[in-house]
Amino acid sequence: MFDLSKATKLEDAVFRPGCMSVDWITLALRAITPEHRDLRRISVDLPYYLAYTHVDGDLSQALGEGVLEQWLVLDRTLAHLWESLSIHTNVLWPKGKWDGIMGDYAECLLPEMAKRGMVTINLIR
Amino acid sequence: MSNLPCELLDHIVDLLQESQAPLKNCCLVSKSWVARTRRQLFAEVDFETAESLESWKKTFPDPSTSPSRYVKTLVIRRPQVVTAVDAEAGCWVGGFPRLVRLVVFGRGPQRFARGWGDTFTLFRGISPVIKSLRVDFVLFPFSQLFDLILSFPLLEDLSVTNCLHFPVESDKGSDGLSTPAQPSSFPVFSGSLELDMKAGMEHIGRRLLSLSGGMRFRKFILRWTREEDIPLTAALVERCSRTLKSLDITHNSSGGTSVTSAFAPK
Repeated sequence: MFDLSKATKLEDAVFRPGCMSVDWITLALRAITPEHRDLRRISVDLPYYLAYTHVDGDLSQALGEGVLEQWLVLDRTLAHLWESLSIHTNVLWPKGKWDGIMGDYAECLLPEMAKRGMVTINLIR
Repeated sequence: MSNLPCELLDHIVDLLQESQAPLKNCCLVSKSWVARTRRQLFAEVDFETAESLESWKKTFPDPSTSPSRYVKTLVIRRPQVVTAVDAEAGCWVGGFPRLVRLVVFGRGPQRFARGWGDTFTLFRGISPVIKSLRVDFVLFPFSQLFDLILSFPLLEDLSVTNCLHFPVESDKGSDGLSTPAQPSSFPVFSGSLELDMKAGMEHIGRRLLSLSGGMRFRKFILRWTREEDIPLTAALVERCSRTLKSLDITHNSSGGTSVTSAFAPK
């Protein structure tokens, strides 16, 4: 098995969790150290299926048990990377009529990052 | 105008590379402008249909005077038609000696799939200076595909997408996953690697990992769907971790546990 600790020339990383779990992203990011001097940006795709999910405010119902907690752990990991290594986070999702809904989801899934203005939301085509 | 240095005239034409109509007009300025204009006009040729290929063949029947020597990017969308044309015209494919980028799409009815192995054989070593290869096939005979990849010693960028393995005669008797014989030389593999294999990337992934020559990819675009591909993805990233500058990973599977363990630090 491997980790990203040896990839010290990494400049940007994009993670697209098309499924529920985001634990693998958190574990990969935990290998990032001050030796990753060139890493300036991490991008995370919001799963597009969220756009079609009506949850009436209950996000854990849409994501499944435990998955919301995984996102919150990822949120803290990303916040730590920003504070300690100034690595910025982009949140991506496909451009469409659901922009508003996805923006709300982004704030729920990455609350720490959103609250402190440490995340940039990018629409992708 | 004729007093201007050639380098300056070349530069003026180079600036028009995105504009087809002005380039065509430049071609009519004088005979001395034809070569420098054709270099831009025919830099990328896309044989989108069988008709476009036939049209090219009719317009430029003589490969020695055709603008094929200016082509740097060749896009083939009907490989079975190219195979037929090459057989008919005799080594037609060999007329693109300065190709830097080759893109082959192999979509169509399954009945053509057996012939696609011939297509790979046809394109093998098509140009000694190819640096970028993109293969987008619904079905492909993986051994021939890999032979094609290894025939380009300067290959930097490799993209293999939407592929399903289609066994051919030479693949019989093995599961296709055994370690192949080591080739005498390896491509450079110093650019980007894109793998998007909905039916699994073990055929191409294991072959790449089996090469004893070093892979030095700087960019990875990896999309996996099957759980079996997770260790392969991890191994590919680890193999190139010293050179990797950009990483783009998509996970489409619904499983979570093994994904997590694959990325766990040692």
